[in-house]
Amino acid sequence: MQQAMQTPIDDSLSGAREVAERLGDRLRAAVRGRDEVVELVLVALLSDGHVLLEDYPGSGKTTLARALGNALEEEHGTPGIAAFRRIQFTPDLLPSDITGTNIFDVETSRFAFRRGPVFAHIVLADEINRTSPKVQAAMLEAMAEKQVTVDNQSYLLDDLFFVIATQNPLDLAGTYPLPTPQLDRFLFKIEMKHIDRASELEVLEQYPRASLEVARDHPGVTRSEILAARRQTRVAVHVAPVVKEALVDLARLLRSDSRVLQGASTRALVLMLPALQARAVIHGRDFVSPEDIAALAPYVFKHRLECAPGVEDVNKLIEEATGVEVEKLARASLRRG
Amino acid sequence: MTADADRKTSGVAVALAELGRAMIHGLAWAVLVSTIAPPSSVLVAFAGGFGGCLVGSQLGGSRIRTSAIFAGAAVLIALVAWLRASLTHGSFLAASFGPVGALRLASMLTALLVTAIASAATRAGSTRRAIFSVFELLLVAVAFGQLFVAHRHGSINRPFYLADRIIALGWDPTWLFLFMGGTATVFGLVLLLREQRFGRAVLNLGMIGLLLALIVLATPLVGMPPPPDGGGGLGLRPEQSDTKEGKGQREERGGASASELEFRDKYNPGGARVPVAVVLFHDDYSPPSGVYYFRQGAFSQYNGRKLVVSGRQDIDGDLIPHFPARLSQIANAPEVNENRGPLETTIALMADHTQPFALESPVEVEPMQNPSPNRFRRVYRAMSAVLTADYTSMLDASPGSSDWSKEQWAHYTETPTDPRYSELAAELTAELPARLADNPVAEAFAVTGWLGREGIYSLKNQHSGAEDPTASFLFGDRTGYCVHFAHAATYLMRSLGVPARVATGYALSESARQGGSSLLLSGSASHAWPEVFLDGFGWVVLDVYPERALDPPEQPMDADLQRLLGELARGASPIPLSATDLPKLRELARRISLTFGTWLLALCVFVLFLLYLVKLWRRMAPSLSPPSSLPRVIYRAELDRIGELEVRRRPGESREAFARRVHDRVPAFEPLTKAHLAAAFGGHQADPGQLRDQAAEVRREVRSRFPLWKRFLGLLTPWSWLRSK
Repeated sequence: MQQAMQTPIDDSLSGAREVAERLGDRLRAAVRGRDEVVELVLVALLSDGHVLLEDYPGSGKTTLARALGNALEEEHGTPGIAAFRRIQFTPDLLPSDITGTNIFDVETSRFAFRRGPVFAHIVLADEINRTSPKVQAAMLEAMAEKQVTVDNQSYLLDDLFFVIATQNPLDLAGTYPLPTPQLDRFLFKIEMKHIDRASELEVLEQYPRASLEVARDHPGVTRSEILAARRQTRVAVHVAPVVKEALVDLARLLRSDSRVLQGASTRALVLMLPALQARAVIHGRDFVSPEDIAALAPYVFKHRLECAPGVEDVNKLIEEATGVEVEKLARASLRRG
Repeated sequence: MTADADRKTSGVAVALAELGRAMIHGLAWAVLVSTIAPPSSVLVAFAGGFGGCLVGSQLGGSRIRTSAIFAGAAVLIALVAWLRASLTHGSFLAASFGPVGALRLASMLTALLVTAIASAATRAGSTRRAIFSVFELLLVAVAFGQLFVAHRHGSINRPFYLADRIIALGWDPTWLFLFMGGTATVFGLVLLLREQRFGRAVLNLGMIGLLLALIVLATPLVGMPPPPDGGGGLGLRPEQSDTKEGKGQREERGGASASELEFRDKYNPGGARVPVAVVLFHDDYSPPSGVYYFRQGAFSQYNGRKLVVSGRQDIDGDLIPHFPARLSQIANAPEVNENRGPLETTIALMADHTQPFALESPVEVEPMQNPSPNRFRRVYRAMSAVLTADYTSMLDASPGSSDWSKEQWAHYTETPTDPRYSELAAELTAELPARLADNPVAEAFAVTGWLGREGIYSLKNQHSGAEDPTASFLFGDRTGYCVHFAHAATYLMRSLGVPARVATGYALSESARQGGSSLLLSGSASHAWPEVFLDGFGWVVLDVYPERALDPPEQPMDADLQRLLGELARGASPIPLSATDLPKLRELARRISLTFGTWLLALCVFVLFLLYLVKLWRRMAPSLSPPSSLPRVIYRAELDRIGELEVRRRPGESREAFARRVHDRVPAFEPLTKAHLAAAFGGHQADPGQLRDQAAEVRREVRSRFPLWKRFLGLLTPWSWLRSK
């Protein structure tokens, strides 16, 4: 289907698209029945955003993150940075447990910085709502600034620093839910649903082999390939002025809605633009189409809106507003000029 | 899955359609109930129909079996009938609300429950199976029909409860009915064009046909229907005898109405109550006979079997030869003297007549401006020298005129060779008293008197097959209608040497005026009567009044309608003299001058034309537009094409999502969508040849996936492009 698209794709984008395809194939092999989530994770990866997965245990979050980490092939030039790190957040965790700490080296009698688990390409922040706000703040700073500060000394993180955080939506006892401003650092919040019967059966069919082993049959990608794809995407995907207008109008529409107490920030739009470009690349286009907005808006806006009490269905609210803008764009496309 | 998606096309549209349907149910019941119940019940019936329809839609979606729904409805209605009976017969309600209140309450309750149950059942059945929607359509059709049926036969003042108010406002009720019918038709058309299933489309088409037929029949859209049996009313119109001779003769006489007198075994008065003309009297006049005679034609030529219209120029010159173009005098009209006084009448024709008629005997006629062109075909004024002298004063008059030539005398006294006529005439006149013996006028009176006593009036008879139908009548069972009586009387009078003829036209008793100044003529007033020529009197009606009749008497015309039409005709004014020089042009101008209705029609046609024009333009644009806008234009053309088939993008749905949704029916639409979006949002140029190929593929797929009737209906829908977005 996707291949059937006739749109001539810019040469400069073929590399990015190829990377996305390769990675997508590998992730889809590892995680069955979650094509939608895989696509969103790819979009986030290509647009330099972070992802918050909300799901119950055992639904494949870790597998997904690990598969992504495993897909990164070793490369020279980035010593001391692991491809994948997993941080299990617990109430007793300290900020230094994730950022790293200065350790007194007996031999040299000096403090040396030992890097924490955030110094990795892919970081799985498991159950991020179970740790104290202090640790959460440290993690979120790292995500926003791509740097950590220990003892007033800042250390830069890798360019390809991609966080997949998870939280369990049901078991909320003893948790510290992330406030909306902190959620704003995540590009997407993805609520995963149970996979369908056929996919679940497929998982069991391949039983003796683990998912990750299966995924290893597919080729991986390197760090520099991903970074190059990010650059290409940002430069070569065309965003029509009407699309930008629609994006702004969408945010304004949501803010002006009486059911919404606090609307999406401008940062959300700034983050969303590359995401739209990334999605266009994945779908073989070199321009952003209204459908990209329709597809990404729920994941971008849902965790950024604070709704008035009594509003049950935030998704519907976003869908309505998106529908208005998509309709506007669709009609505009039939007009001359 | 796609079907599901289609059904959920738009919540608002579905809700609107549901409400509209409920409104129609409510209105239909209100109209139906209005004839049998007080106004309060009508309101309640509306509510019942409205609610019942909504409930029925829910029922249709439930799991209850269709048969159970119908059976349940029948049982419930029976229960309501029993409840009503027990309520009105019991003393409880009457004690609390008084007898009138109790009756009204019971009537309202019944109206509410019965309409609600019936509506729910029909609606539920209709949602289940197409065949059951017949009941629903029938309900609406009967309600509409009920409205229109009263309006038919030119009764523009019916139904009273609607027409009275409209007339009081000074408007023409016909427009209301046309409007209602037009609305219903448009509604049906929209339903038809929206329909997804063939069976329902056919049903809707039938419904529209029915409504159109009702409108055309009930409203005088094309003027009043002509009287069922023509101007003579009794088979006297030449159209009845389709012989070429008859037609040729008619042309010779310049459109005389009756060229051949027809005897019929059975005269069918069906539709005879349609008003054909209204006569407005400018002055009061009581005819000595008690009957107004409007003469249109005369039969005086004996052709060996019966009397026919004479082709001779010197005969029957007192008739109005044709519709006047200007004020014109009648050539051989009787003088106004002590026996005849002047009387003016205005005659407004509602049905086409081939020859004008006037109260006997017309002296001059003048065309008038038509005060109500939608109602009347033609209006003219006639000055008549009406008979004022008593019949007894005619005894001294001499028959015939001294100015007549021998041929004229012979013409008016020619009789069949059958000797029985003169034998019978002699026998009759022998009974006259000696004082009146040999008085030809008295002899003529004797003839009509005898015929009145001996003849039996009946529209059914058995004489038409006879060689001489008059002889068969006169010497047989003496059962016949006016044509027989007039012929018999004329032959007998002629054999006595009195010049006589048969005149035709309309005759109506003085009492039919019902005290007013207008007289409504209908097909049933058609008549033929004998006349004799008396010196100083001119042609005098000597009608036969049969004492025995086998047929029930005629009902009088609706007095209200008579008065109303008379008032409409009263506005007639003479056509200005300056215009009389160009009367034909004037008439032409009047005919083509656009009335309000024509303007409205023209506007509708114009809008329709515009809609089709834009539709055509959007369809043809791909072959005319420059390559830069080709992706957009070609996409729009194909979007229109599938939009016609009710495959439309939902509001808020992206173009890609729509293309995916229609993928299983029109796969080729997807690449076209892609190309369009690439051009619109990515600034890409597409290859025109490839685009055209893709569009051709879409057309091919549409042809193979959608049935012909649906594509045809889609093509006919003028507004389809308005909805493709």
